[in-house]
Amino acid sequence: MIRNDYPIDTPAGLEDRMVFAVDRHRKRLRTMRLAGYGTLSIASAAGMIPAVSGLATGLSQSGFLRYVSLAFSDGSAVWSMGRDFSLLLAESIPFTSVAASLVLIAVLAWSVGKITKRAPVAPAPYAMA
Amino acid sequence: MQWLKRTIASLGNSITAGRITAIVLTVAAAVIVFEAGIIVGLHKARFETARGEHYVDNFGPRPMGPIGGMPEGFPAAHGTVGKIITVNLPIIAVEGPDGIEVPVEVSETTRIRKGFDDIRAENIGTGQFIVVIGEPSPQGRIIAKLIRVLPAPPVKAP
Repeated sequence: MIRNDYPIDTPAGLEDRMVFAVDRHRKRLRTMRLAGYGTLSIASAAGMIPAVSGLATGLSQSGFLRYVSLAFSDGSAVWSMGRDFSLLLAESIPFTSVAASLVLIAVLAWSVGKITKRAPVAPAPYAMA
Repeated sequence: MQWLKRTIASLGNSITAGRITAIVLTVAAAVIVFEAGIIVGLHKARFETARGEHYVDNFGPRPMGPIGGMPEGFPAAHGTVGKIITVNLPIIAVEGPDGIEVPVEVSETTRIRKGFDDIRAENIGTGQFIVVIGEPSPQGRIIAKLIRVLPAPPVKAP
């Protein structure tokens, strides 16, 4: 509650104009943020294509997928040499591609989350009546 | 004791404690990943050094002329996958994933599988495609514990 110790005459319609200006500023900010997050989403989604392609190539070329397949075809033998097998997987995993893909997925999820949180919600049917 | 209970309860409810826990866990995870990277890198570097030092012992003299470009990375020390180049038991030379030749040593305890059957080392031949799990030796070889003979992958069109 604002105390009005020094009453002054305010111009007519000032409050409405202030509310309108604040509202317009908020809308502009929201639009700019949405545009920023949208650009980030599109960029990260576009970056996912070469990243995932590189990841698939890396997994295939390093033999990682072949090693993993051993766990299914020769499960008991592989588990008995668990240390060597886990070190082999760690040695052959293409870390750069995995890290790049994970970062892009995280950025995409974060930016899409921000968009859905900030996107204007359509008015409920009863509010329009 | 009452104050201790109150302190623990307040710590548990405060956001700061949650943030500190998250930071500590993140740092711990980063340290573990870093340490794992060092261990893996050390294994690969040791194996590559030994492989280079014992190249002639394992494969014979290097061919004269250009030896091709440098590989992008070190081969894995605990296994390999690829086509068999030569068989000179107990040593099998495999063309690894990066085109690097990797010597694989077959021992009496090595389990060799083809399909659903166990086969003998003598049944392995040049040109076959194998996956190997084993451990690195000081001679720059992978001492195979398991060799799985696979169907050759389809040849890509040029």
